[in-house]
Amino acid sequence: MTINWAALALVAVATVVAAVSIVGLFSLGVAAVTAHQRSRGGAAASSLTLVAGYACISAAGLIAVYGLYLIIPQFH
Amino acid sequence: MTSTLFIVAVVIVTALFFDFTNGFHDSANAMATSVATAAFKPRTAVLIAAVLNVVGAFLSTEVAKTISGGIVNDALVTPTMIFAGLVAAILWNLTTWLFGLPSSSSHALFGGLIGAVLIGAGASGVNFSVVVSKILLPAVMAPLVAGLAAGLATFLVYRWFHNVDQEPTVGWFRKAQTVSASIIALAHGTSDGQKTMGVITLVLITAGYQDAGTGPQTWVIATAGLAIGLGTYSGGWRIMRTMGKGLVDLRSPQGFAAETTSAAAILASAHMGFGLSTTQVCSGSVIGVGAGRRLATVRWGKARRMVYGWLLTLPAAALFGAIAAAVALTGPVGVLIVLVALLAGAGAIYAISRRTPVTHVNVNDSPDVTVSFSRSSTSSMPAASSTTAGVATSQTVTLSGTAAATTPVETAPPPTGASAVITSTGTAPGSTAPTVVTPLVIGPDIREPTEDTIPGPAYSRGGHQ
Repeated sequence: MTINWAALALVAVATVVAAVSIVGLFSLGVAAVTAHQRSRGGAAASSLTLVAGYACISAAGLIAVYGLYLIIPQFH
Repeated sequence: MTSTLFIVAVVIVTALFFDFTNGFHDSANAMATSVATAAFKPRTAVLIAAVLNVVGAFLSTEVAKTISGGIVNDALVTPTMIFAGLVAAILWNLTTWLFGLPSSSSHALFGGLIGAVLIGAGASGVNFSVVVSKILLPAVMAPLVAGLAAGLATFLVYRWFHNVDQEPTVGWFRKAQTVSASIIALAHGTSDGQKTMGVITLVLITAGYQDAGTGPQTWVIATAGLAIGLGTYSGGWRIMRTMGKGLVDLRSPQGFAAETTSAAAILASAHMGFGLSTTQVCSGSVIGVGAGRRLATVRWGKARRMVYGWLLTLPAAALFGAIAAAVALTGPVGVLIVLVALLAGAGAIYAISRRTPVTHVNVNDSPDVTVSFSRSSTSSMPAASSTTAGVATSQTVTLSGTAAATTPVETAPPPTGASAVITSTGTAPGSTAPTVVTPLVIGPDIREPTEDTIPGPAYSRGGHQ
């Protein structure tokens, strides 16, 4: 009986890392954007928050696009 | 020659029927969490999942080269054994659906094939070490990996960020859920859609209707895609309710975490050579996000019942498969008898399900899926046979639910007619015990403001105030 333990470990680690980083990144982005919305008209620093927030959300979106790339065999 | 054509035709029709049950069984994997948090309206959810499943079926180029991936010796497998395996898988899928149990369609198919091959070709036809390495071990690992990842992600998000359960933050998560759920649906189409195509193509090759080494014909791709799409669209609302409402009271950030984890696990396992069952990954994620949020309810009793269902899937399907093979291998008459038994069994399960229907209207109303075997206990809910009557019944359920929810008692039983039905004690052969209706406090959750929203007096978002 051959069990590919290395592949199993890789799948497990990849799942944990991907889940935590995507969900964390998106939450960070949303927290930044909503924080900016709450303090609307505030200090100039809040516009940096907004940009950083959208950057995080876009990064999460790009990972989703990478997921599509993995799913669709015609891409590779 | 005519008998070959007959068995090939029967296998193709049965394979498409299996594909249909595969679709409605796995509809919940992609969409249950989004339906539960109102990221999608129920019917929108299944429509999107259905379309993406069909698209996925057409996208996938790598059609299964073997029926079972080495679990049974494919050289010994005859179309009749495949037929018996498919019949077993369909009946097991329908039984678990009746009880609202998420269970793996692939495991049901493998189990059915194992049983059929044991009868048809003997124990040497089954590769038991592959059963352990490709079914049993992944079955243990899938929920653990997904549960751990989803639990950790949820725990960290609720710890690091405040007010994630409240507007406007929760709206962002709800939107994100539509993306993550769609990715799961598409991935499902590319993997499960091609399983049936592989089975049909291999049967056509074995019978000499198609050249060896050629891919599936266009009509095979089209009909298989259509079957899984129709199955997905029909919703499998009983399983949807268990996964979305039954195991955990989900909020949008949890739904997003569960879907992201499931998508990551499915893609990682597909590309790193260690296949995990989609159903077990998705169920594990849901339980993980429940355990990861403080104060969240995880109904461990339901989770335990689901695990029993997983444990039963392989042996039960194998038993069905063995019986079906024993009859079908006697000749064309035997095949006909099995076919009639399949239709009768499917019809009976459907009829029982209509006594306590779960539809797109009432899927979010209760965490419980009840099964009623005796006619006497269904006086308030007549067994409906036609679709129109079914809709009428579910509307009655909603109305009675609204009335029940006006009682200002927080610990009132789940306010739906479906849950209020007292289940009988009868058990179907090969099934788990009927769902016990216990009074449960339905935690505060986010509902879409439609007519089936229950005006609960204790409605509040709670959590991180």
